[in-house]
Amino acid sequence: MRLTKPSFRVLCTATVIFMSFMHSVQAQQSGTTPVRTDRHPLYHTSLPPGAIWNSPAAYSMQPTSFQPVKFYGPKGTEFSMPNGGAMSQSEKNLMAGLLVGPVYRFRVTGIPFSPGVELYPTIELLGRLHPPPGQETRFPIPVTISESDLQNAMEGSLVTRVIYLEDPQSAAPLAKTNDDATPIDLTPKQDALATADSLGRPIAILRIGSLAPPRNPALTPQFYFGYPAWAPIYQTPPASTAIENNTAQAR
Amino acid sequence: MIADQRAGQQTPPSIPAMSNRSLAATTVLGFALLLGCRTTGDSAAFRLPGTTKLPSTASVPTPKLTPGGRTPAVPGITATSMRSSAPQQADEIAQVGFVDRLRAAKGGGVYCGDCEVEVDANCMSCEPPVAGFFPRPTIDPQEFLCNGGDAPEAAILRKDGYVAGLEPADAVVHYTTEAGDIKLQASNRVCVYSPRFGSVRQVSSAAGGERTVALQGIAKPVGPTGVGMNQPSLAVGESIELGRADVARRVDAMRDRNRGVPVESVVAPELAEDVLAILATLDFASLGQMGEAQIAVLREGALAARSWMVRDAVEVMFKGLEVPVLTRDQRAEAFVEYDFPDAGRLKIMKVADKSSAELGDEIHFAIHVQNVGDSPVSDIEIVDSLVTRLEYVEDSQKCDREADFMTRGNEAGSVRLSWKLKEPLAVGKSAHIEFSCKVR
Repeated sequence: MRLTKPSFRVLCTATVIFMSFMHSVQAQQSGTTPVRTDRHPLYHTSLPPGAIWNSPAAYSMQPTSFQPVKFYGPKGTEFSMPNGGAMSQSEKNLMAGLLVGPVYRFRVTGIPFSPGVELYPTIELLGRLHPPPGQETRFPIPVTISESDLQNAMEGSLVTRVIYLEDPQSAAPLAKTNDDATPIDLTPKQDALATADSLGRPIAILRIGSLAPPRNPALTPQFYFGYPAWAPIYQTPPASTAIENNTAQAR
Repeated sequence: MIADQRAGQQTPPSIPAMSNRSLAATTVLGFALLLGCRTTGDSAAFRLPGTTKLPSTASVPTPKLTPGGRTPAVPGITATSMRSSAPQQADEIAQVGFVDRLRAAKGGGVYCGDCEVEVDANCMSCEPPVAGFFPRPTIDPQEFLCNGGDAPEAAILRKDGYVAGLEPADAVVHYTTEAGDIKLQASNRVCVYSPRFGSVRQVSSAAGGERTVALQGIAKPVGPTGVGMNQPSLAVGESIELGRADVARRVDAMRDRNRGVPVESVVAPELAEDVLAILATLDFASLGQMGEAQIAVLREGALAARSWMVRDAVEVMFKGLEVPVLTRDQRAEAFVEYDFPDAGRLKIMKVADKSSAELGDEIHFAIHVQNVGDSPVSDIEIVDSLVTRLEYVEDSQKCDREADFMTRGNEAGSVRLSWKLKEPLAVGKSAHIEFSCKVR
């Protein structure tokens, strides 16, 4: 049987269409599209405290300068850091110089509507800032705890906050203050580090739980992660407060 | 294990003594670190735990406001020549920017990108350098608020006079030259240290029987000495593998480059061969002696060189016919210089009065536009699109020339400012604009 010219053309066209269809099906099956994951390439949220900077790669990168950190909380909340087996004096907006890497456990007291309750969150610095010389204490990393954070922790939940340095190119055009505790809430399936990494540079991890100090003194160093070194930073009280204090002393 | 020991987080069951020792070691380490980090540039507000509080607070140095500036307004002089201590002129403007702390601490001068100035000089508005391959102070550009420039270079002037392709944080000027050409010139970038922070929150809890399981129960496995938890060392270790891959790629690249080298080498021997062919026959070259018989060879070469002087043309024979000899004896009898003045050219420079700002602070910006060309320019419009974290303070703008000022929103939710000068700018003349922004 001999094909006529038109039928030969139709046959060729059909063959080409079939081949291209099969090729596209094969390309889809072979998975040429890269798999997208919402996870951080190196870390994941469920890492234990201090694990990031305990890695061998990070061992040689430990900086030896203190990074000022300032704690903010709801009205009446006070913060203190462990100081040689005891706790330092509680301050309202405590500012302290912390090292990058070690995990610090601090104490939160004066929680609103919960008299006598103490919480012991941990803070872990992932990086530091590079302010102009002499202005280190003017630009501390703000560690802000909201009332709902404390409430969740007291109910037995673990609140993980990843504090990040905002990318100014993608920052929201809204006025903000350092004590603004409004976070971006994530679902448990999302990776907090990866999300923070996409919004800027993750710089600190704050974990608030309801773990209390152990009664056995032998376990205390473990609870405080070996008492890493820190440097308190003295802040000037506002002028109005200073005047009030002087007046009270005069009386 | 090493890391755990270093952090002092291992608690062997035996021993309070060990913990005391680790405590003492940690204290000593703390002293060493504290003392070691105290440089002249550090804040004086640090003190050791347990010591008395310092009588005074850390003095936060106020940035020097130098609205007179060191940047010369003379065209041709770049911003690097900032060592001058000449009295400031009223029409000069100051530059601010970031300071390299390490260099400043060493007393080696303030480092600002490619320009280096004395320690006491205010730094100019340079962008913070991004960390490169070599170990140098890594300064995160995200800590700075930068405005100005045109990155990527995408700004264009549409037919309707609108500057399109302007990203938030860009600042450009467009003008028309005498010849009718429309030019666009981007300003420099001004960077102010002003980090802002955000946080993401995740609340997780273990629930069983409609009741939250207390964290105390599950806190033990996630402790620093948790058993059975995978430490991230393996994941981080993979980055070392990538480092090896980089090295392997570099070797390949070298091999590629080597393939290209012979192309140049081929040419060189060919040229050298001709020269060597002559020189090699000379005894002077081979034996170090010059024989009389070889003088003729040199003369032949000398004659050849002389006969190819510019005055003489090439003589050729064409089918046995000799062409007339052409002698170039023309010489210039007059010299007329036609002077075509260059087109007008605008220089635009943006500066800020602060090198660092906290949230809520006001920053005053100045834009200086000067005609550094050879002819006047017209239809000048200065457009500045602000980054999202800069909020324009209403009615704060001032322009020393008559101009139409306009604001409109940009795509990032901030404001785009534009000044359209009503009159052309003559040669050497300048326009000065000032406005204020609030950091948010």
